[in-house]
Amino acid sequence: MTNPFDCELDPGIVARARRGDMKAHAVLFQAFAPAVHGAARRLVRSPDVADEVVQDTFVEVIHSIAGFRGEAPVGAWIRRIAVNKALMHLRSYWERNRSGLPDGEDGGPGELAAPAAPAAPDPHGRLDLEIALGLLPPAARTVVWLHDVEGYTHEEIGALMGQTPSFSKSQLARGYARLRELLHRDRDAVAGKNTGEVSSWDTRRSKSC
Amino acid sequence: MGHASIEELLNLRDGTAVAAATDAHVADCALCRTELARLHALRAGLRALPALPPAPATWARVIARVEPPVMLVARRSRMQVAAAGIAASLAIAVALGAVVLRVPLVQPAADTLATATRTDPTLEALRGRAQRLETVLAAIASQPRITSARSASAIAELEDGIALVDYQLSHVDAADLDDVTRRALWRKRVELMESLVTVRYAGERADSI
Repeated sequence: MTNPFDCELDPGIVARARRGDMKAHAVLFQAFAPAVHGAARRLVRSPDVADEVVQDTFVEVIHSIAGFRGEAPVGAWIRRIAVNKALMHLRSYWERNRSGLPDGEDGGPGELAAPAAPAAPDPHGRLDLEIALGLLPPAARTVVWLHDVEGYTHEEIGALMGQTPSFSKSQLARGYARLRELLHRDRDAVAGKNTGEVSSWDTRRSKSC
Repeated sequence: MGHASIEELLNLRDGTAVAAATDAHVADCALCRTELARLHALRAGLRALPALPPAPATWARVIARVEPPVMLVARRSRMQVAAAGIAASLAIAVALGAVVLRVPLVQPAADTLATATRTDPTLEALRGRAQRLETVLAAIASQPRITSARSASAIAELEDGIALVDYQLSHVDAADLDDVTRRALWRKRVELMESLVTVRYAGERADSI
């Protein structure tokens, strides 16, 4: 599926927006606000904060587009702004709570929103991917989203989060281990009865085949 | 060797180099291949999560937050586009004989638009004239009638221009605004207000014909 930030616009729209045409900015908003809001909801979770991220992003777009030179598609440029705004909100929250960058197994103090609504497993006891993503610890969720959906490298993520690329890699692994656990627990439990090994597979190296 | 760790599987999934032994193990291990396929599927699932439109009022909130200079510069560019429309409205006004304003705008000797825009009065005189024009406009505004979309557009652009001048007058640090600049701004404000009065009177006269 194409990332919504990759939406292509008539270059004339961007040119008009650079000249301060607010109608062109409205077109940019219509084209990219759902992408910005979608990313923000997955990163910060809180609907109110996600709305702030959308506002912050497009206020900056309006103020800064005159300096946008078009080396990258405008969607990629807006994505950078949106991600920075979302991370700014997360960092602000983490610093306010003096918890630093959370990397624990649970959401803990790094959450901007109340825990996700009670999980609604499907008839087989599995969670929806959206809900499972929301249940990840904030740092792992951020890395999973930025790396696997928005296409950031571990180097870029490490820099954005004030950490190392190794931190990003370990959070990605942690996030996927947790997603797997949340989404496939029951299936693995069934499979485990047959193999006796699957449920022990995690971030550590397990026994030999 | 043991099963591949999730980090190693993620490296394989993402095309990052892993140890040859790990590569060989995964190629031969059904369990690791299953997990690798699961990681691919999870990433595809994340990428397929939909964009989320923001709340309907978000764009209005963005607009409200944009600094006045940006908005006004944008409007100023629209003013240039609308200049022809304004000129046309003025021409219509003259043709209809509607420029004979019934309220004195300036000193008796400068009672017509032509002379009013050419005079270079003092700052106090400009302020006084602006105040009288405000009175005239207030009287017209109490009985608003718009004759055409072109007139409405011309009026909006003139009002934007006045707002721009007002912003400059009220937000620029007084210490940085020399007398010449301040007087030029007031003169511009008066000119815009006179045009606005003219267009509005033209509308009124056209309606009555």
